[in-house]
Amino acid sequence: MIILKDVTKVYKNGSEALKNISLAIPKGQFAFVIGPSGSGKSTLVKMIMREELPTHGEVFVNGYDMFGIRRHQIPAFRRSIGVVFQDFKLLPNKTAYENVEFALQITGINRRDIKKLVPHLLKIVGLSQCTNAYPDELSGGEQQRVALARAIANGPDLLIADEPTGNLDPKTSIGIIELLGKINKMGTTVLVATHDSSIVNRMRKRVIVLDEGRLVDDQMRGHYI
Amino acid sequence: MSIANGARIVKESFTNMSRNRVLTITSIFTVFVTLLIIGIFGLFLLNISYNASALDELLDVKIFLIPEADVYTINALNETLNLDEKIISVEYISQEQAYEATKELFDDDMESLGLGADFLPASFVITLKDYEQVDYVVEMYRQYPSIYKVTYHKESFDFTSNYSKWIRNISGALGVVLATLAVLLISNTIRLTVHSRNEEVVIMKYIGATEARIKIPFVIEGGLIGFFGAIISFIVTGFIYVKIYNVFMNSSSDELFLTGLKIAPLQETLLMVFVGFIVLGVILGLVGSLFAIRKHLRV
Repeated sequence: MIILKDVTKVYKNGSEALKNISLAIPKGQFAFVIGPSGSGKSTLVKMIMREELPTHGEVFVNGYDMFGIRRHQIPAFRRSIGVVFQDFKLLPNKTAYENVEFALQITGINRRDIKKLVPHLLKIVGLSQCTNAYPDELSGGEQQRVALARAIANGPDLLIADEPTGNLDPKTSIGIIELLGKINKMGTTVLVATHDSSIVNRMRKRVIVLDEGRLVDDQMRGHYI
Repeated sequence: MSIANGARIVKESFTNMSRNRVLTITSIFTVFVTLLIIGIFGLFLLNISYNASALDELLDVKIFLIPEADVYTINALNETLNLDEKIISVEYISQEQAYEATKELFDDDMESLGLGADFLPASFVITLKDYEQVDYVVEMYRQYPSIYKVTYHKESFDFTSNYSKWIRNISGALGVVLATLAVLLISNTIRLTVHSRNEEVVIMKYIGATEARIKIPFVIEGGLIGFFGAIISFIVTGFIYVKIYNVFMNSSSDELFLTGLKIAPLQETLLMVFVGFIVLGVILGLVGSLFAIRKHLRV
């Protein structure tokens, strides 16, 4: 569940990235945030991840108040969300298996459970055959699948994907977005920030349109013109 | 934290160290030099204090009385000296006692030379509370009409009050400067490690690692740098001390024997140096790494 109330973000250099945004994304929903470069998509994603705080307004994510959250609560909050990025952010010196394992190790899950969970997660994203491959031995689509397996490793309530198909060809992009749909069907709220019209129009899900920091459109079964 | 997790974190710290090999070696070397210098000065001071009893004898002040001083004058002076707060001990040596002591030294030749018991003056041997007041005390008692002469080993006083203080000050100042340098270098090494692993740190933050889980490998790395620096420093300092110790113990040199100087016992001293170096080295490493990650690793 994401709630933004009258959110404005002004950076130190004076640029106004978000202007008075209010929106709510209920639990289990699949939503796209679209808009051209500089429209405020990344700032919105950063705010939901508590990378940035709003200048005015309130942000609530998975029951956490982004202003009221204490420093020691941030790790628990971050475990309640999974994130994938355009550049995958995989550790190059770890195999696909180890990259996913790393997310579980960090959160203190015991070795026996990790051994069961990692193959299961890699199977969900369709990578059972590449467990021992290093990121540079995998295609872009495969790397993003590993990133997705890692993002859902701790069973997050919310999955945020920031331009997840930005580095992928159209066919691979469709595979990734279908995988996001599959994860959503398993009960996870999915928020995708993108300017890839093909995936938005294929999914026919909620579309939130930003332009110059303002929310200009919000359709339940929208499309990208 | 499970044993497996702990082992993984320590392994991570070793991996970091090997990735930034040059900086790690530089930091270890700085800790080594810092502890070596602190250790050498420390051992010097330790041996000075170990020899303090020998020095104390040299630091006594002798007050010789005029031959005419009668028992009342001597008693009055004894009382004055005992009441003087600058003096911690007073010992009266009569003419007879002085004669007997001198006789022992010269194998009873005194009598054959025709020197009687009244040859040497009676005296007071006093020990001062503070060596720095020696000039003042000597000058004051020289004014007494019943006192013939006041003597003291000026060089010994000068050594104790000046040189040992200088050695302590210089080693203290050098220690502080080098320790600061070591902390800064370790801090810089860890900061560069943090930068080189920035991507990993960012990923760790996103997947919900706690601040402690992110920081601990870097803190351990700092501690390990300090630990290895301390070990190398101990080996070198220990080697030097064993060499000097052997010179002292095996020396047939009369000069060395006549100085009356002693050397602090080997085993206890080396154990003290080992524990001191490890504690100091690890503290330097931990402080250095904590400086580096204080601002850089917030979740």
